[in-house]
Amino acid sequence: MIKELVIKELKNTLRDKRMLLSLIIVPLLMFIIMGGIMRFAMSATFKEALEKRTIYVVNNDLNKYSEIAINYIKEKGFEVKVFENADAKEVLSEVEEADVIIEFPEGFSYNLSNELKARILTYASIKGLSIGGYAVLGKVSGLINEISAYLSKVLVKEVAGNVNPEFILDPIASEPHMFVSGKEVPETFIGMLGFFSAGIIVAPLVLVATTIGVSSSMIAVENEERTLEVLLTLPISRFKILLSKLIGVVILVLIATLSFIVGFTFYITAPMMAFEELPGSEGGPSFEPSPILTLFDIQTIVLTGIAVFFTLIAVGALGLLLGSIAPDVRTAQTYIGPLSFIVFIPGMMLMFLDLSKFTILAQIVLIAISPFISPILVFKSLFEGMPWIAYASLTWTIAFTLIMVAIAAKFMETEKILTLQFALRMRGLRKKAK
Amino acid sequence: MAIAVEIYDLIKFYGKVKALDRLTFKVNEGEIFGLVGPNGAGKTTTLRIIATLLKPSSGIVRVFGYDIVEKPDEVRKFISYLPEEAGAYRFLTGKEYLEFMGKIYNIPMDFIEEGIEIASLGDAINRQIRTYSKGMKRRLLVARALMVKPKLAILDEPTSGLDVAHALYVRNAIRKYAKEYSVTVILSSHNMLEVEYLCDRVALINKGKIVDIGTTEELIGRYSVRNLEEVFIKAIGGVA
Repeated sequence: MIKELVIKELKNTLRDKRMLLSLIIVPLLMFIIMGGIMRFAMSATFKEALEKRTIYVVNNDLNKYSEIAINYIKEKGFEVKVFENADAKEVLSEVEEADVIIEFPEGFSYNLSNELKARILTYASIKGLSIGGYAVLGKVSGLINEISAYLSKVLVKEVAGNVNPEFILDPIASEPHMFVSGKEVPETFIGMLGFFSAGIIVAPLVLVATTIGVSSSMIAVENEERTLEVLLTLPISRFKILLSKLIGVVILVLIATLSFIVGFTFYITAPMMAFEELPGSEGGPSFEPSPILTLFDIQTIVLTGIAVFFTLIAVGALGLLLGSIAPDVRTAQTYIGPLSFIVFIPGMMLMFLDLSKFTILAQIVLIAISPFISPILVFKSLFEGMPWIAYASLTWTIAFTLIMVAIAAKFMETEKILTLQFALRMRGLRKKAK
Repeated sequence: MAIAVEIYDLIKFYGKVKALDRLTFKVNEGEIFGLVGPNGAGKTTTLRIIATLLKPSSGIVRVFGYDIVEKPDEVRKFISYLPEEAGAYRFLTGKEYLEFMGKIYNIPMDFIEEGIEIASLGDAINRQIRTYSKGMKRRLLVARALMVKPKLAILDEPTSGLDVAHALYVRNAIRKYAKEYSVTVILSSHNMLEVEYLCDRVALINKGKIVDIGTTEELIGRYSVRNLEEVFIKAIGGVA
């Protein structure tokens, strides 16, 4: 019978366009569209920035080192338009296509010859607020660094004679070794770990918020559509009704989370994909979460999984309780609003701070509210070598879950499930009247 | 004659408001029993208590011998309740809704086919319920309540929202099911014609109390009036 009830819940929820939109389509499409736009825009920007574009140069030095620098730019494959003895600002305003100008000022070569710092001036005309404009600036700045490095080698060779200038300029080879949870990992893993850490916080937060939303709506919609009375008189125990709703909530939340993860992964990997799409690109750091999982021991993964399960059930039962006192879905959503604070504020704090940075009191507060953030807390505390927090959090979460389910089951057994919302409404009206 | 519903000294408070005041009556098995009274008289509260949705503040309510407070799960096996303002799952089709209910009551497929027939929705039975008019939804809900052939059907204003033709159709269905399948029916109605047509016995209820009880003929004779409407007005002491 539970199966029939669960199927009914899923059919009635997934066919509701409002639920379908908020649970699956928005998280999936929103991120995919945003990621797609970002990928397209970044790809176009990178391409534009990397194009062998025309470089506008004002040469007021007209001497050895500025000539070497200009030849170097040409050797790099750029077309170079040189204005000699000109005012760079005038060139910028008069030449429509010139959005960035490099100027070798008078005395550029003299300074380098006399071991004085030489300046290269750049002039940029920002014509829009798109990222593209800034990317071009970045490219020019990179070019100047390359010119500087090239001129260094030229100068070293001139001063030191027959030596390898690259060795003189960069004699040290750095060889970093990174360890995560005692295991050595490639350096590129650290960047991925950042993504993973953000994901391990964001995904449970979304999971909890979605669960409260779905479960409260699931029972509030019974009130709104006036189906609750019939449901409660069917020859099926109230506990089975509760159980079927919780199972329905968990299935819907898992579908919603999957859709969120697919969309979110696409979104956060969009910049890398844009980079990889570039012609001649050797590929940026690819996002492969699976090797990251090998960094964590089986205990961390299993306990986090248990925490996810119990948190879903606890929050689902709480959502059902809140939903049952709401006359409709919209009111139910207003009831659950304040709960978001309990979830998101500590969640965000945990994203930026290690647990060791929290005082003992703050750690206890975190454990107290951990039924809402248990997956994050368990994972983070085990990873950061503070297992007592994980065990305390998990124990309290399991106890809280059992309490919530017992309260929800008891509540469904009583007539309060039908009369409490009416009583609350009457109390509100009486208060207003006073 | 076996007793389907027994109510003794039933009192129900909502906060400080006394909704039912020492209600006592019995419904015989196979009988169609009507509760008639003005708005707020306590009809719906009585039906909700029999349907195990509300608990009495005091008094005893038994359905086929089972106390509704002590054995609500047993009582629910015998009953089928139709609330006055009931809805149905908007995103199921009419057929899916009846099939779902059929599975919950564990009834054979031909009962569900009968339900589809009672609902008389034609091709609309395969459409989602959200597309139904109020009348169509009501017919579906009546069909749901009757197709399971419960031992006790509790119907709160069964023809509310139906046009004349469909109301007549539903009344006939209730009568047919009650007689053919020995379904005991307890219903409330504002429509005196409906009560006269359907009910074997009627209880007049006002301000939470039973004012009088009997067959339509007995009541008309007792108050020396022409019809049940006049009985009702006379019994409650005129229009409030």
